[in-house]
Amino acid sequence: MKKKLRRTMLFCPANKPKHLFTSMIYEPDCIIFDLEDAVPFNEKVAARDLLVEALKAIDYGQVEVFARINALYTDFGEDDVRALVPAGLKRLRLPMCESEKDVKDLDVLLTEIERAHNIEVGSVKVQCAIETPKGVVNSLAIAQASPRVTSISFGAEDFTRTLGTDRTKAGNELFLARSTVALNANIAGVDAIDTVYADVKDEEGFIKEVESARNLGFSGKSCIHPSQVELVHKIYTPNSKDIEASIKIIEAARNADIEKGGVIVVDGKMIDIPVIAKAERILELAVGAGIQIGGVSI
Amino acid sequence: MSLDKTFPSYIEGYGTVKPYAGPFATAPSAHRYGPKLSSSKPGDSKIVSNLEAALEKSGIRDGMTISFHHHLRNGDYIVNMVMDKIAEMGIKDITICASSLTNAHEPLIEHIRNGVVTGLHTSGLRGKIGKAQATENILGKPVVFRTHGGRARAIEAGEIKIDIAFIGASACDPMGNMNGVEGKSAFGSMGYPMVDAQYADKVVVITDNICPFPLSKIAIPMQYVDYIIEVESIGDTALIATGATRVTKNPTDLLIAKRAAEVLVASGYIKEGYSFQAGSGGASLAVCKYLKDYMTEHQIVGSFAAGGVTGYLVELLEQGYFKALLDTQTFDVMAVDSIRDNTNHIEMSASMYANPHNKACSAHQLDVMILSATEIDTQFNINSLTGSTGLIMGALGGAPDTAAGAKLTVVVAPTMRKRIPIVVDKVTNIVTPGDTVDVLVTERGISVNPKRQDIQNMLDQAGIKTLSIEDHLKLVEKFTGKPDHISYTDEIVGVVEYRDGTVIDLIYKVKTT
Amino acid sequence: MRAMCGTEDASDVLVSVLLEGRGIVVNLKSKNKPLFGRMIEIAVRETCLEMNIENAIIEVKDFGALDFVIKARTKTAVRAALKQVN
Repeated sequence: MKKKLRRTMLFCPANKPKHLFTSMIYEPDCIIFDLEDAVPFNEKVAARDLLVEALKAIDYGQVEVFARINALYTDFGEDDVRALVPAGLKRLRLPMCESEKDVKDLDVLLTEIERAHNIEVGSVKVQCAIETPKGVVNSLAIAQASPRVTSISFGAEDFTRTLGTDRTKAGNELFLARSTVALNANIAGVDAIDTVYADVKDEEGFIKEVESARNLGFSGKSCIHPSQVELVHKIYTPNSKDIEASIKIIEAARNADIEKGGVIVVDGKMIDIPVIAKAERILELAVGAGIQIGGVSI
Repeated sequence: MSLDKTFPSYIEGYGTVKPYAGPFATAPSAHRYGPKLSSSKPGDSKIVSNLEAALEKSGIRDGMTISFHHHLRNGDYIVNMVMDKIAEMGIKDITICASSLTNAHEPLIEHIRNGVVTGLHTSGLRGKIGKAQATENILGKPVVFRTHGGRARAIEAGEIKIDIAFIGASACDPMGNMNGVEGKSAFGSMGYPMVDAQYADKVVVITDNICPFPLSKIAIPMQYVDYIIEVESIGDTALIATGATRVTKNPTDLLIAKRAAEVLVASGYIKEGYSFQAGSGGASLAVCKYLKDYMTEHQIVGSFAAGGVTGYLVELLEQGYFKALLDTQTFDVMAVDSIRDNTNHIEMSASMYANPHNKACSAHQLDVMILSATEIDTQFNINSLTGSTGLIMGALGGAPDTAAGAKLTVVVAPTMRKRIPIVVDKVTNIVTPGDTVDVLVTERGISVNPKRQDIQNMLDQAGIKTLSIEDHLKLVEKFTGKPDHISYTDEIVGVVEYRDGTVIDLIYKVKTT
Repeated sequence: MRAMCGTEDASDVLVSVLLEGRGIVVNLKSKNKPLFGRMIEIAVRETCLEMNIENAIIEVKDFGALDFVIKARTKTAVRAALKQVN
């Protein structure tokens, strides 16, 4: 099955009606409607009602729709889940995940709601937001806590706050945390989504950060402005040299029986399973970027 | 192609109706109109002490037609100054032939209600007057709407005869040589009154800047001018020309503009020596921004850009992206400076811009035209004059002229504004016929007029996704719902002329309950 | 007391609810009334029905909101009104 690309997660405050029916025009891979930090306390209920009605009425097409709910320990978190899931929401982002238990609690709640509303149990998936040092350390357990977890994300703002430091443009204070999240996501077989970049006007800095995140192993980036979406997609678009090489590798792999220990050589180089996996990923990204790849189906 | 509309053959207060038959189907046969001859003697003086004296000397009387131009835009003092004086003098039954009317002209509503003004010819109408005409027929007869090219044509053809033309000039010498580029009230090109001056029986210049004879930069020369009056100020400088018009920051508009630029590139028209025109607002102007990147990358230099000229187009001229600008109306201070100082920024009359019944116009030399729209329907007809609730709130401008002239006409618009769908089943009024419109680009998709299979093929080849205009409509209505129909009476409150003088649509009075 | 929800921003609607009177009374102010007035009123009434509200005076000041926004704002305002009553 073709894997869903999650190169971009466009954050939109759920309390602004306009965002609820316009955000998909920027064609991010995912939209994340925010009920948490972007929504003031006295608008929490109104924003939830808006999002519920939007989910019932609006066709978001190919875009994967997430909601960032309030943490379950707040007054709003559980009600968010109880309202959104019956309205059709399939993807939740759980903020401030620190342990396996946070995920298991949500899992129990989701299972109960799914059963009550005749929704396939386990069909609602979860992205866990790792935003504290404790969360970083526990990120592998979090990612493996439930089959519902399809991705984990890193949030730098709360992380540095908890650590008692400041976020810098160089980002050295985040290096270990980001790497850990990306590695653990890889081990658990889920996507890793990088933190937001708040300075919308600093295109150059943003590009640098996305490139470094991609090199660390992140599958995508959280975006806070439509203009960032295209930049990320560009960075995640493989170049034609890599695409051609990947096509060769996939074709060679198809012609050989690698499972039985067959050896493949492309352009004088030995090809093994990780190389094939990387080639597949490159072609997925190429297709996601709208590049026509003749003959090879993935 | 004719439209599936039927019009009465005669309309009271307008005259005989020649129905629209296609963009270039109706050709003229008569001779050009000529105003009365004049004479002058050495030692003549044209400067008159005040407006009343100028009006009296010009022979103002009941039933006359007088003309104005809208280059002073929302800052204009001239229309109200002249009309207040005419009302004060007890004159009635005046027909105003304006190049357009803006929000600055709302006081006209009283002159209409009092019978001072009983006829209105304009490109556009907005605000209270537009609403009052659409719902009450305050004029008691239809407003005649003409395109910028159509107005020049009607004047040259003598279909509308101007008794007195009033021209605001920011610089004028004692014999009447004038321009709009010097002085405190500088507004740029004098494109519209260049026509009025040649065909009106009397021409009155109103200026706040009398300069020594001879003025060195002459937009309209003295041989057309009868009288000059000096006033404190011809307009509110803050509203005449704003600072440089910047490209929008609205992400939806930028997205539309970017897609439109991709369509232009894929269609093959963006090549060395191409010509281009775009509206000054929202997504239209932003298209230039993306074209600029492409032109840089491929080292393309265009021939000319035209239309309402903004500071952004001036930047493109100065940076060498286009060799010339052709300008009938200047939009901001930066563009005013440019038309004054840069010889490649060329002032042109409305006739040279867009009149279909002369020997050439710049609209017909266009490769690419970018238009905006209030509504566009499944026949690609565009409305930019009336709102979906039937109120008059816009203008024809040069849209029908340039759409007919350009090799490729692209409409850029959002799919909806405050729930009101832009893509509709049938436009409230047809202003620019679908025969002349090629592509629609919204934030949700791209539709090609089935008449342009060549463009469709080019976009397909470039891998640009398109959808039929019918599917575009369905997509929009999924969000907005299908609006209820507005009820109209059978009273005609506006006649929309196509640029060739045929009637393309009628505006009926809205039924109010 | 009236319970309110929404804003006067473009594409939004301001709904205020008073749980009084007999039946559902909807007073709509909107530039879009001739085009969408009927649909806006239906959206408000449907929401009341969904929430089992039988008597209410509802002021709707619309600024070009889509139906889902009308419904959501009505829902939140009714919720707030019910909270006041209880």
